[in-house]
Amino acid sequence: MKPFAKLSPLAAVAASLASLTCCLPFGFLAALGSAGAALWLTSLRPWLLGLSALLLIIGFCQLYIGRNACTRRTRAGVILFWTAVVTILFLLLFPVGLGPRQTPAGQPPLATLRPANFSAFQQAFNDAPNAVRIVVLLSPT
Amino acid sequence: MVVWEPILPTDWTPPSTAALSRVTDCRAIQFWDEPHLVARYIRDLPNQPQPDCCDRSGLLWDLAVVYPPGSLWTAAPPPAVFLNGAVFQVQSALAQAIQRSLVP
Repeated sequence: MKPFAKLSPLAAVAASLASLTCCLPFGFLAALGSAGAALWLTSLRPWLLGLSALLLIIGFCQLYIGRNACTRRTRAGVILFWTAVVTILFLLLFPVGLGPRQTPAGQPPLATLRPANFSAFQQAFNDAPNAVRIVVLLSPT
Repeated sequence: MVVWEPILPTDWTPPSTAALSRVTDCRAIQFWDEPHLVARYIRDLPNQPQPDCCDRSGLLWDLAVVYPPGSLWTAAPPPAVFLNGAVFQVQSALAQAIQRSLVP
């Protein structure tokens, strides 16, 4: 994880520069890379996904709006851009929205709390009355 | 007991396997609490330690709470002996609270 963490800022800077200087494929690949890294670097996930979105917006502007700096729009660039869009959308949706929700081995499955079934939480809490109980409130992302 | 609740704008679904796998202890029980039931119960209990942080629009999060042996959660939660966050910042205080609770 550490080499990743050291390389990420450099990659982000390189990606931004690549996009800004019309090296569109590199920008799109960097967008894909930062979205992919967001799968593993969960603590940096919002930032990496934001970087991906920013790079795609820059790429879109360069492809379709204000074509002063980058005068040639190649078919390969267009295909690469839309491939990156689709792939990043998939990466965005899969782990958070569509992927499985499997608890680690030995733990019961993830339980969804609602007012009607809150007794399940009370029951779990009261199942070990002679033990110290720790309740941790967390945000998934 | 790990209670995941939607707090950030990106929390629009229950936690993924990657998030759930951060808690590996087989004694853990993990919950998805979209209506913030646990946070509200804990917040509304009077006469308990006040956290130094962890309030976002009236909702408690990124918080660890320790209950001593003998505690039972009935209509309301029992009194906590430790209640503070952010979780990664209170690890040593949390460990001390657990140690104190284990001493008869």
